[in-house]
Amino acid sequence: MKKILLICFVTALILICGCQKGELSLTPTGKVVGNVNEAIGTEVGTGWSINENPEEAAAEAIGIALQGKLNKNPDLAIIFASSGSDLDKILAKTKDILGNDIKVYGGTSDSRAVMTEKGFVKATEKGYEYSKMEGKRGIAVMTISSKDITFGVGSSDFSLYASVHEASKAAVMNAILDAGKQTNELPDIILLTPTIGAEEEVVEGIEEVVGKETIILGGTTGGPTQAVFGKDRAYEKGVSLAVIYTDLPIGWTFEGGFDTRDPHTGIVTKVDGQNIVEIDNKPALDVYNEWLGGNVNQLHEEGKDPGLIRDLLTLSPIYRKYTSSTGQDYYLFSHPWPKDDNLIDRAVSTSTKINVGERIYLSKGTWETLVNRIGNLPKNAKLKGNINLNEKPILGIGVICAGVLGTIPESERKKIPLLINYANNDAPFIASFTWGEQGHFPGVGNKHGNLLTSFLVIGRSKEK
Amino acid sequence: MKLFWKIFAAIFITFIILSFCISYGISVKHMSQMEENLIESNKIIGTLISQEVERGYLESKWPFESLKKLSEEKNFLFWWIVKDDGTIYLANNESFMGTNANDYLPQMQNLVEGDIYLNHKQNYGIFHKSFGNGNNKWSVWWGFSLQSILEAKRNLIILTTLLSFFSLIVLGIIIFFIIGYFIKPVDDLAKCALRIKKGDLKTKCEAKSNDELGELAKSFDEMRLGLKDRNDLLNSLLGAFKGQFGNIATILVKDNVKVLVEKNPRIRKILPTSIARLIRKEKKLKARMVK
Repeated sequence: MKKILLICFVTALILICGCQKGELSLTPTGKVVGNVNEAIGTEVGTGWSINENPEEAAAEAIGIALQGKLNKNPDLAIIFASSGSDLDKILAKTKDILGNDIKVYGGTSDSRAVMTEKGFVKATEKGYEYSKMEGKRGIAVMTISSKDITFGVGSSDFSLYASVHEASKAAVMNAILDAGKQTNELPDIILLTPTIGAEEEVVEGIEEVVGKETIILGGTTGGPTQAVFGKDRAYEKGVSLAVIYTDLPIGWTFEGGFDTRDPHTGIVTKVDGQNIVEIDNKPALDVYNEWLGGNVNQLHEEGKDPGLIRDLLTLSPIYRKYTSSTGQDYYLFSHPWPKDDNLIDRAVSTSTKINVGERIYLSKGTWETLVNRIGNLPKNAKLKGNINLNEKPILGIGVICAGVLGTIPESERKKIPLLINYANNDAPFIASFTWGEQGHFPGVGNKHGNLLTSFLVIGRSKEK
Repeated sequence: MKLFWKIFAAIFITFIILSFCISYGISVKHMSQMEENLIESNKIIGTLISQEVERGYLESKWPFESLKKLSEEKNFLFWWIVKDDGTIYLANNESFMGTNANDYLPQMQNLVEGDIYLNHKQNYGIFHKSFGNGNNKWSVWWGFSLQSILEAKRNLIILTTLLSFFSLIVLGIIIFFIIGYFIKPVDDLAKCALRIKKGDLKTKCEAKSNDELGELAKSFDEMRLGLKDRNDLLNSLLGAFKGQFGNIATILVKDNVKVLVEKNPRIRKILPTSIARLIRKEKKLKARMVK
């Protein structure tokens, strides 16, 4: 009897163990990245680091950027470091490595990340105020040496000028002079990085010098703590910009990515700084809640994380419509979020200045649309610049809204640089995640908005 | 081994073999049904996804949301969108992007379009569907695990083993009593025979059943009664050897008894003392005379 039971037990055990088979295990072999050497006369390199020591991080990133380069003293260094990074130390180290004459442009990116064609450089898990506890950092550097492109950089500390307007004028004039040009020689493009809160004045100040038709592409420094690179130090409230002169083809795009067919619209009837207090004489959040079918109040009543309400509003932003003299409509988006997490104050905050009497519209988007949009940025830029889609540009410079990044699931974010690389033929690029974006609407001028993306490519062939 | 345990073991082993065969048959059928369902559902999902991907390919708008949902499926292993030259253009794990799909799964090159490749050894299946025109054929690859089938198989085996184990215990108890019930008359008969062997002819051999065993017990009891009657008669006769005319009786039956003893020496054990002594004396006398 015992033997029978033992046999039964052993048989069952064998059968059970027999089910434990192996599983499929795939290990990536590593992508064979194409040669990223630049055209004769121009050398572009990018580097990155997640070292928490700012000096070591700068050294690591610059080291990677200069790997294999003939010219170890580039003309321009574009640096974006995640919020919280010590820009003073990074600047000092950069000058240490690249020499005192190096032109530096840039500032802080959102605390969560920076990006190059080499990958998505993740810093903190969370954004906004929540990131301060994490203490993680990321830095991206692009170095450019070129006989075909002339750069000039300028910056100003707002506190040293009578107004933001004046500070911005001074910065752009300094940049033009830094490029060895006269102030009446307009740059082909201006790269702009202002700190948050006065972007409209910055754009207006610059336009006063270069006019409305000079293209400005920029992004507000990412937070929560922000700064820009000045000549010898970083400014917590200021502007950093770079002017570009070149005969090479330039392609650029400045776009949203939201569906603008939603019928909801209203007139802003009361504002308080960058907060919309009333729409159509009703509390702004009440109107927004109504537009979104009561979802804002519902999420709040269900006790959901205020971040979810932010995400909902991020994917349902407001926009203003601008029409050029040729009849072309342009949409300038603004990132809305409840002024008060408890929703007691019913104002809606934005980081754009919206005036009383302006008509605002509701738009809708999904993270999927936004990822696709970002992936197609180089393609759109090339199309605008008449650059062959199969051509590998010399470089790319991107500005991506941090709010847009926030809506994209964590698991999908690392795909972004790869998608850009596909469309940009693996050309070197650098991108920051910003808290506001500035760009050009032909026939309208330069505007500051939110939840936007821009991308600049400089082609190789001089035949436009 | 007693008859009881022989019958018990025979029934028990038969039941084990039967239950194993039935369980195995049910498991195999159940597993193949599960596998068919899994393949069918994966084919449907794969077809839908590949349609979405194809639309995305044409519109330069990849269906990331659907692909992410696919990534969250229970049996999901990977998804790849592969270019005509085998380069993985998009993947759930970006580390695979830009690498060659055929380096990982060369066997997929021979797969029939829209079919599912199954690898039972490594527990996975792959759905593969092409889209695009002419030479520019892209494809969607979707890998899924067969682990759920294995888990179900394991659970089924554990369940059937446990059920069999408990039912065997219950069956063992039932068989024990049933066999005991049927074996009891034989056992009683054996005990009865033992009693008779020991000389107890008074206790009746009970026969409760009306079947063959009952009849056997009845005949056995009749045999006991016959023996008892003969024994009683013999005892009454033997009593005569102890009575008033014992010596005469002894002398009269001596020769007959002697013949009987010669034929069957066991009779000597039950001989009355007087006859036994007489026969012994005569035997000794004969021996002396021979000398």
